[in-house]
Parts: sequence; structure tokens; C-alpha cells
Amino acid sequence: MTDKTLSQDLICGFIWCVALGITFMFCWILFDIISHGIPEISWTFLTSSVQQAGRSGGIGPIIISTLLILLVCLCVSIPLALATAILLSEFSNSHQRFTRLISTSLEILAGIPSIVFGLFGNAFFCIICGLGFSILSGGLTLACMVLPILTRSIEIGLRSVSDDYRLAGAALAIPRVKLLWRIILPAATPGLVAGLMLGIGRALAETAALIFTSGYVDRMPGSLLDSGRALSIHIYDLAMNVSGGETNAYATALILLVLLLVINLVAQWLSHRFLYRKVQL
Amino acid sequence: MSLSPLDKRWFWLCRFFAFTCALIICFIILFLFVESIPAIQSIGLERFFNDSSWHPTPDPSTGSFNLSAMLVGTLAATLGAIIFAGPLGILAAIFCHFYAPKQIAYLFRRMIELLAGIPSVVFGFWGLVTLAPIIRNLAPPGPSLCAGIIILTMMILPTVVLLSDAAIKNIPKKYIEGAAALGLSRWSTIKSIVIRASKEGLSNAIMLATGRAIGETMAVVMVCGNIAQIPNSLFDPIRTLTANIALELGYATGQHRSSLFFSGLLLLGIITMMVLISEKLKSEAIRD
Amino acid sequence: MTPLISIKNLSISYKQKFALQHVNLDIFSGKILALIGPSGCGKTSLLNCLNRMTDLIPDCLVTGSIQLEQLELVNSNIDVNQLRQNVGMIFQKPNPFPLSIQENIHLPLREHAKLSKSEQLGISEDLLKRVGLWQEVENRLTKPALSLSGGQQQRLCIARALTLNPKVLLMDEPCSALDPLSTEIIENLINQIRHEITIVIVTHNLAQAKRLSDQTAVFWNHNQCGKLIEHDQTKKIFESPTHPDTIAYIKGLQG
Repeated sequence: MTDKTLSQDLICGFIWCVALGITFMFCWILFDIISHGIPEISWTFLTSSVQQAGRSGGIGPIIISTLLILLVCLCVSIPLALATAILLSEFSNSHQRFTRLISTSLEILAGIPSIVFGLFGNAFFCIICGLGFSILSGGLTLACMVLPILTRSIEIGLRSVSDDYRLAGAALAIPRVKLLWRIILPAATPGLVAGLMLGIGRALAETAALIFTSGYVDRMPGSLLDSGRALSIHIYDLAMNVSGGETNAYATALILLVLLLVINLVAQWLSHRFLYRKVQL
Repeated sequence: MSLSPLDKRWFWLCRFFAFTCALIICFIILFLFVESIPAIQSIGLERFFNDSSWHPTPDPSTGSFNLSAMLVGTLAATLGAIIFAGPLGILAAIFCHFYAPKQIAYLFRRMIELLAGIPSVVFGFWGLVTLAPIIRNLAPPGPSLCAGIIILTMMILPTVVLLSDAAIKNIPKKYIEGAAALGLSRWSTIKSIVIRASKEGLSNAIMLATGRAIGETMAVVMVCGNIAQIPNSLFDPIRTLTANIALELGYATGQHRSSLFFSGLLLLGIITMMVLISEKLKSEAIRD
Repeated sequence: MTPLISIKNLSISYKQKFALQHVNLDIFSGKILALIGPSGCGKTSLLNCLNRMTDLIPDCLVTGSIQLEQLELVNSNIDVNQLRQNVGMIFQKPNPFPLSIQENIHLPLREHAKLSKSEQLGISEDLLKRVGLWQEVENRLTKPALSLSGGQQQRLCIARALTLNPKVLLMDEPCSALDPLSTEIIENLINQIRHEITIVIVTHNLAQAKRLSDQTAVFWNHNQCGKLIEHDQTKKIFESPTHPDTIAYIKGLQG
């Protein structure tokens, strides 16, 4: 019996060590970025334009470009993903072959490396569609890329809603779509918001797909057809191609991290509010 | 199944959008093919694996186009990362469910979610300025397969943890209750019930993480050293297929550009094969 | 006669809301005790205390005392897994593990004793015979347990619980998810094992309580809190109940 307890304790200790190790690495990265980044950050850094290829100056145009790329991406991908997820989860038993085709292609799409999206975006949006290196090309490429994540997490969210609701709705002869909007979507909100969060996070973090679609230009974009440099590309460029760009790279990395954190928190706050309102109804 | 007229309209709208999604993948494959056909025709498949090295030029007669060093680089880095991230990630998910007190599990999950949100370029940057110098002190030159494996492990770990966590959460509560009522110890419950009941979800987590590791570009570009060679040790620099594209597409023209699209096609092939394998595993698991 | 389990002044609350209050009850060795009463009067909560399944429920607070052969169960620092080997449990919905039929039996065996493969097979054959499942599953022992029918699954769960030779078997409405035929089979099974083991059974089926049990405890809801209102020999409870609520409850279901 003591032999057994000992091995149980060892396993328990080992698992705690794994968790602590992961936590340690996480804190290390975070501490490194924050401690190097914070001294550089100021209001002027956030708003002024890039100078000397990024060695000095700020990141104003880069933040604007990033947000525009994100906006294009979400405007295209959210409706597509929502509709596809609804088809897969709510109507899936009616047309087996078609839905299987869709879900398999999403599965493959999800696995495609971002650099391959970059290749595709470069060949299709930039050259064939004639959009050139532009925010629009970048956003559209990203939209293709986040589509599977968005769709799958929305689908999982919808599926996790108990079938009892659907059966009860069917028994009351409520059209499925009404049931979906009134009961199932609200019930699935946390899952949906989590999915949206993942999608935004992935889009904001993306670099490889953007290098050859939205381009490198670090000026303030005048329109969606201008090239714009995303935050992530700015970090990459400063770290790899600009000697002496490290301090600004740290600062930009910190901004990117903070942005991701804020999006995370806002999404969570929204989902709580939404749920609360629905419960009161 | 009968649908009301309202439902029918929505159904067709959804089908249309879903069809667009399926079209995207067809388009991607089509474009990779169209762009890589010139290279396949004028260079030929065997030269991608038999040429002396990777020194591409726009004109196929003067360059050499061997991709195997990059292929080996990709496989080595991926394998290394998954060997660490797979078990660690599953254990971390188990930690959340069975070992950590409620509040700690909550904080841990939050942290992993944040970790999942850290962009690959930040991981790469950190690897470049912090990790690579440490490895350089142990075994020069620093940027190497080893650095790549460490960074990739950290990057795919959250994927494994979050997906395994979800898979474990989906285990019906009655199994856990049943195990408790039989007086099974915590570890036996995990080993015999939890892992088996969530087998499908766990292997799917590993598969997705592997796919992510294969496709990862920026972090690998920044920490692996990017020398197109077959590594002899953990501390040799490597170049992966993805890094190769990211480094060269900017200036590549002619057959060089086309051969980069071919390597993209190769990546896509590897990933598709993995997806199909995991689908097969899934359907076999259901049949059992 | 000293009771096997004696419950004194037991109260159970979830998030400061009492589910059961001030229960005093003795459970005697080798007898079947039926817990009856309307829904939500704390019968299942009481059952969960007897093998500390309450540990799995967050915000569940238990006060009072339960003694199993001088072993204090409430809030004590005992080896819970050891306790659960002595006090088995059958759930309302059959819950075989998603493993093969035979693996369901072997798993607890392996956990609690070192046995060879052939010994394990021998024991599982014995157990499956005892619950009358052997003939039905003899040729498909390696098939998933979830492919069995509900009644078969429940018998498998009983066999699984019996692997540990428990002193007490807790049954939480074991037949409520089953059809009448399967119910009859399970009842016969309970009748077979009743002399070897102490059984505490929660049931909504008064006829079942009357048929099976030696003693009956009636629970009732007073001000949204469960109370034990009467307990005695089953015969006496059904023929000459004293508490007015018991009379109404039994009459209501007879009439």
C-alpha cells in the first residue's frame, strides 16, 4: 500500500513540475518583453511615424495598417464562418455528403501553413486580382486563413448546446432558424466569443502570410489599396534586417502583446454581459 | 427531415457560404499547382531530390534545386517539438482537471490561453535575442535545430493543452463517478479511463499541433540559422521548407519562384496526408 | 444487534442551502434498506455521503456523524479509495466505462489486487455468471461494453461493483432507467445477493421497496429541506404507517 502511495505521490509531483515549468517559461518570455519594452513606450511612440527604418520614431502608421488589415479580414470571414458553422451543426444530418465535403476541406484548410496562404495570396490577390501589395490583399488572405478556426470553434460552440433545446423546439414547431437565434446562439455565446478571440488572435499574430501580400511599406496607408506594414512584420523586420532595431522591436512586441490581451479581455467582458442579459430575459 | 420555408431560405444561404469555403481550398490547391507546373516541367521532380545543393536561379539550366535538406530540417524540428510538447501538453491538461485546486487550474488555463495568443514572431524574437545566445554559450553557433525545437515546443504546447483540456472535459461525468465509486486511485482513473475515453480528442490535439509545427514559419526563420544543410547534430543550423519560402519569395523570379511554389505544394501534400491519417484514425476509433 | 452503519444528526447542504437535516438512522448488516420519498428530499445526497461521493461535489457541506464499524466517515481523514472498495455504488443510469466488457471487470481487479491474467478471467466469469450475464456475453467479452442494452449494462455495473467484495452496496434508483423486464431481472439479482451484502437502495417505486426491502426509511420535504420522517420494518411502514405524510404518500400511490 505504501508502495502505491509513493508512486502516486511521485506522479503527482511530476505533474506539478510540468505545470510549474510551463508557467516559468511563460513568465520568462513575458518578463523579458515587458522589462525591455516598457522604457521605450510613450504616446509619441504610438503615434509618430517610422524613422530610419524603425531604429527611431514610432509605430503610428503600423498600428493603423494592422487594424485595417484586421477589419478587412473579419468583415469577410465572420459571415462566412458563421453560416458554415450553422450548416455543419444545425443542418448537418440532412445532406451528409455535402457537409462532409465542407468539413473535410475546412480540416485541410486549418492545417495549411500560413506561408502557403502567403504564396496563394501573393499569386491570387496580388497578381491575378491586380490588388498588388495592399491592405486589401493582406486582409483577404488572412480571412481565408482564419476561416477554419472561426468555423470550427463556432461549430463546437453550437454543438455543445444540449440537443434537448432542439428537440423541445421541434416539438413546439418553432422554425429552426428562430430557435437558433433565440436559444442556441445565445446559449453558445461563450464558445462563439472564444472562437472569435482565437481568430482575431491568429490574424493579429500572423506574419508569414502578410509579408508577400500586404507588404513592407511603413508609411501611413492612404487607402485599402496601399501597402501597409503590420505590427508583426515590423518586429520581424527590425529583429532580422535592421541592426540596432532591437529596442524598438521590444517595444513593438510589447504593444502587440498588450493589444492581444485587451482584445481577450474585451471579448470575455462582452460574453459575460451578453449571457447576463439573456438570463434576465 | 422537413424544413419550414423560412428554414429553407436560411439553409440555402448557409450552403452557399459553406460552398465558398470549400471553394477556397480548391483555389489554393489550383494556384499552387498552376504556379509550380513550370518548375515541375522544366526542372523535373527528381532534380528536387537529386541535385547537388539548393542554389536556385531563374534559369533551370544553371541552378541546382535540391529540397531534401529543407525537408529534413522541417521533419527534424517538427519531430523534436512534438516529442516534448505532446506528453507535456497532455500532462498539463490532466493537471488542470485532476491535480490543481480550482483557482490554480483557472489561472493556469488563462495563462495557457495567453500563451496561445503570443504571436510566433514574438516567440521568434525572444528566441533570437535570449535563447540563441544561451545556446551559443553551450554549443556555437546558437541559432540551430535545438533552438528551433525549443521554440516550436513552446509554441505548439498551448494547442496541445487547450485541445486536450477540451477533450478531457468532454468525458461524461458518469465515467469519473464510476471510477471513484470503485475506489480507483487518481492516476489509475486517468490512465485507464480518462486517457482512453478521450483518446480521439488527444490524438487529434497532437495531430493539429504537429501540423502547426510543420507550418510554422517566422519563429523558425528567426532562430534556426537558415543554412540549407542536413544537420549532423542538434546544434547545427537548419533551414525548413517554410523558412525557405519566406526568405526567398521576395526576390525570386522565373523557375526559382516556381520551385518555391512547388515546395509549398510539397508542404500542403504533407499536411493533407496527416489530415487524412487522422481522419482515418478517427473513423477506426468509432468502429472499434 | 449493533448496526453496521449508524448515522447521527446528519445534515447536508449545497451552497448553504440544506438538502437534508438532522437524520438519525441505523443500517443493519445483511439487510436491505429502502430510502423512499418524493424527489428532492435528499435521498441521493444521503447515499452519496455513505461512500464520500460528496467529495466530488463542489460546495457540498456535510455535518454530523456516520460510523461504519467504528470508522467515522464524515469529514474525517480516511482513505476514501479504501472506503469505496468497501462501499460499492450503482448509479441511476448504467455507467460502464468505454472499454470492453471484460476490461470493465478487470480494471478494478487490477487496481486493488495483483492477479494473473487467468485469475482475472476466472473471476470475471464468476461475476458475470452471478449477475446472469455470462450466457449473453460469453462470445463477445472483448466487445465494447457500451454495445450492451441498458439492462445488461446495469448488470455489468453490478458485477463490476461486486469485484471488490464490498460490505455495502449503494443503489441509486438502479432500475429507473430500465424497462420492466430488465427491472425484474435486476430485482431477482438483488434477491440473490441479499444475504451476502448490505444494500441501501433509493427508489421511487414503492412496490419495489415493498418487494425488496427489509427496512424502509421515508423522507419528506419540509420547507424545502429534506427530513427523515419515519423508519421501521418495511412491513410496518406499508401496513401501519404512523406519520401523516407517510400515510398520504403510501395511500396516494396505492390509490
